[in-house]
Amino acid sequence: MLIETVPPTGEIVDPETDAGAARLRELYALPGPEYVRLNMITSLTGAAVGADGTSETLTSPVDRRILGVIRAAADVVLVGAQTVRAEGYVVPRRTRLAILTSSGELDGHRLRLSSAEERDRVLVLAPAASADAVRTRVGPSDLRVVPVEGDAHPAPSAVVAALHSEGLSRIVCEGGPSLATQFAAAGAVDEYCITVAPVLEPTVHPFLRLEPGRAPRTRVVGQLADDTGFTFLRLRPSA
Amino acid sequence: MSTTSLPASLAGIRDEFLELPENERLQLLLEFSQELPAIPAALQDRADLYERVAECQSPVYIFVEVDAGSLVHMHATAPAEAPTTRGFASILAQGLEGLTAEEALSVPDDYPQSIGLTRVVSPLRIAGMTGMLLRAKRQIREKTAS
Repeated sequence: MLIETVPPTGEIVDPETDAGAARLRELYALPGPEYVRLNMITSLTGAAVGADGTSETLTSPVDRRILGVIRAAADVVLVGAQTVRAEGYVVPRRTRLAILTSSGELDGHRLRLSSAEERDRVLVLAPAASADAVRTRVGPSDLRVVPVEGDAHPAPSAVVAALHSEGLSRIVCEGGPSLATQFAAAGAVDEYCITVAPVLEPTVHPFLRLEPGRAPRTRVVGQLADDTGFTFLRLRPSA
Repeated sequence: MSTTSLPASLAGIRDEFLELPENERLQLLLEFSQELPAIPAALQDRADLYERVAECQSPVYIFVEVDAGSLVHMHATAPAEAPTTRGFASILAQGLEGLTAEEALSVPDDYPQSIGLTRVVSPLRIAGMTGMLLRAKRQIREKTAS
């Protein structure tokens, strides 16, 4: 059970009713055809992951439900290769998955690539200079490799451009913290969707590692709170 | 969500269900039922290896192998006319595939109640899936007992 706190309408949103599901879709609808969202979960202490190195101990069923709404409003989920491995990503059923890697090292992933249909939903993004090496590396899994212009550490704008060239312009970046920080620091994020889990965890990896002077100015455009103490924020860059 | 680490495959499957509105979860379960892997050729004539899951209303049989590398492979049959049950068998077969025996045994017994289906399918069917999971774990224990 969610309540709208920003704007302070106090409306109850029950995702399991048609009205509530429609309201969620409305709240998370994109203002335009090209949009970059950053979706992250954090503890109160700023940790992106719990003791097991994944977001498993932070997330909740309502958090997953909202993630589902965010993914449904996107063309592609963008995630770093390390996070694919660490979080045990599966290929989202109704959204494409783009994995950013410089080495093509995808060993240890839990992607169920058993059908051609699933493999077609996955894109591997690699720096242009190493695209061929990455192709060789991921060859056995039959995944398509798309080159990203620039050097070995491509700029977020180049990653976005590569996705646009594939017809994927509604992007949700789901981290990990390193990729998220690059996008935030580069001003490449149109909207931050942040889940705040009401727990205290040691912060080995801050979900955003922002340097002084490189922190984006933002304003809150929406907040939902649920009855277990979770908050779901939407922030956009302010002028 | 959990305090102990659920294997990533089973967490991923659970999350797929939780991301959907309740009224779309049955459709996902149906997709899983269509993905239940066929019995490997080598096991086609080995009905003697399979255990009937009595907790399921329809005839469901499972056989869990623990290979030389201590990795788990679950094989299951369930009739096409029982898509809910087939879907559950498929979730477990895919979710347990390639786990170590230890990882498989640490899957919480209440996993079937945690995947967002308790308001979507009857308690009897959820109990059927629990039966599959418990029997699979018992087979694993028997095969790894020293």
